[in-house]
Amino acid sequence: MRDRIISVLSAYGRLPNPVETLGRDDDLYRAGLTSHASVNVMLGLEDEFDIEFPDAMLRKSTFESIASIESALQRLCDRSQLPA
Amino acid sequence: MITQPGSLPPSVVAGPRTDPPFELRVGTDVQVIEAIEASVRRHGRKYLDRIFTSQEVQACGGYDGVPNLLAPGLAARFSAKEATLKALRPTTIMPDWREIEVVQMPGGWPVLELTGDALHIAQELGFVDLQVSLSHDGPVATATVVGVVCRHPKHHEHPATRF
Repeated sequence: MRDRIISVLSAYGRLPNPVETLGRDDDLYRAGLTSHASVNVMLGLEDEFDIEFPDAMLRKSTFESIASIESALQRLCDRSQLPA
Repeated sequence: MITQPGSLPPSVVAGPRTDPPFELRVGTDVQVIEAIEASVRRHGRKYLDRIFTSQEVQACGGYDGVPNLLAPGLAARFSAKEATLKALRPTTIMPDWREIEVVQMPGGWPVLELTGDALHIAQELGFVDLQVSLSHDGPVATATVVGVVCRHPKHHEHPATRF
């Protein structure tokens, strides 16, 4: 999952330095992620993982690190596997 | 009152004073128009629907508009949303982008309409007015938002219902 997140961040995050140089808990906003780029990252993650972020997860904190994105995706993927 | 050269006027001299009843909040933001255009091309309607109200999209040229013609207006509106957040300074709840809407008045000037969490935050903090100014030229669009917060408890009992 981490590699796919890094691939989306590389494609949509417009970060000044390569995403591969960032640690799992590094603050992406401090690394240069803007609000608008975080919207593109969110849409890119939705396409990549075939999920949709509910409004409740559209928080700045959801996209503040690779770890927080991974955690949010894990919750969404777990939820989507539950029986309807 | 005339002050001596080098001396401070009474209003900025330290000493006992009462806090002013109003506080000004300012937020400003700038967006690269090309980035907004790229998002419209890449994500299309999904992007527009997550960020902008239908009224905002219509004001910029509509859902069938050409991305490079839509982008300057959308970029200015995104700037206005971000500038509003900077003026509101939300701490725990982050409003949905669509809850901060730029509405174009018949005379041509823009005003802000807040709904949902954005309106709730503004009311809780005692905002009594919020004004926005937009501009775009060449590669960038910008917006500035100025808000007036009333510190008097009476205004918190009867908060503004519309901005």
